[in-house]
Amino acid sequence: MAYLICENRLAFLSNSHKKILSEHFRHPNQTAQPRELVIKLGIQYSQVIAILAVLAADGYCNNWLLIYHDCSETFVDSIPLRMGMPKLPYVCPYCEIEIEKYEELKLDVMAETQASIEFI
Amino acid sequence: MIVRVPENSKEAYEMITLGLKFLNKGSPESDELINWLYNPVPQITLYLEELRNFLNIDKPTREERQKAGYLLEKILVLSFKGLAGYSEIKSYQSSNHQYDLLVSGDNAEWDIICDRLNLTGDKQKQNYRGILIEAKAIGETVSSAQFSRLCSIMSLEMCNTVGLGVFFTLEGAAGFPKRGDGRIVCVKHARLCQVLFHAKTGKNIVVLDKHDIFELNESGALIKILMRKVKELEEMSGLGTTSINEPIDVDLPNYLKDLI
Repeated sequence: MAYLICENRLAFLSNSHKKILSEHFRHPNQTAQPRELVIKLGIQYSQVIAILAVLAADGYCNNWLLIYHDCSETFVDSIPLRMGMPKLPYVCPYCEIEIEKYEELKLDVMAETQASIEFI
Repeated sequence: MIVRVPENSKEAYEMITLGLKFLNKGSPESDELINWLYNPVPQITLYLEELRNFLNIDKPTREERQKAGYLLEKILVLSFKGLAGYSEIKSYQSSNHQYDLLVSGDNAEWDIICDRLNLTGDKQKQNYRGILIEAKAIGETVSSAQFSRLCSIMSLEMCNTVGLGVFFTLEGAAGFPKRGDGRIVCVKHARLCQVLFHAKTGKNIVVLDKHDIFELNESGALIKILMRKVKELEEMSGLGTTSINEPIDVDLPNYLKDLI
């Protein structure tokens, strides 16, 4: 069991938020998606991203930026979230089309945790 | 079952970048998202290559030097265009001065930029939102007189709006430590102007040179370079700021270096 000490970080989290998060990350080897946590916690998407950044900084999770293109129903690529936006021109690994505008892509974030985590 | 619905790329970019609003400045968790504050415009790579070619010319003609000046200004505009949240980007001749570039913003992403670059001033009383940039494509370092001109603009004309000055140069400024050189503890020339201006107004003026400029096609580069320069002015290490590709900034005496 890993313990994430929020202390001076993530001041917007109440005790009930921490309880919900501990429940969500109770099992090791989990994936989490921001929208899912937004609904569970009733907070903003950006606040969930901040939580995932703290988890990554403490070495408890890997965050990925999932890249979607019209050619596939699932994501076509994933890069570490800390790298920022994918570089343009971007070549879709599925259809191999060169993409010059971000409007042609859709994005999502996925967090992968290894250990079970308790938020304190 | 979770149904994944990906976000429109513009919305996703804004929401991820705004995560920084909830993270402490300079913290490891802030570093996780810092690259989102600067997304290089693709054309910049081409212009950087042109600039590299110009610097390889032994004795550039007057025409080539003038062309390099325009080229540096193009790189300048493209690089600040990559910053998150700007809503004003201007280059004009005012009734008083020629401004190479004035960048400002009024949204939440720009608030983060202002916070990370200490634009709010020392006492947090003043709410500066502007960055004024001067491009100098000259073969020499920026002189004290040229440096003082920017200090004067920031304290007279733009005293209430601009909180950060930037020199966008090839060779840096006189008296400033350069990357790879030994430690300079003596403060003189333009460096002295920088220190005095900071002490008097609380505002920072930083200097980018060609080594910094050639890194601007990397994700997060501009914001990380500016943050390192602003921090260096407080630390007064006497060394040039390290490359953004150095994840750990090490400045230790030889007998301690081996421990890192």
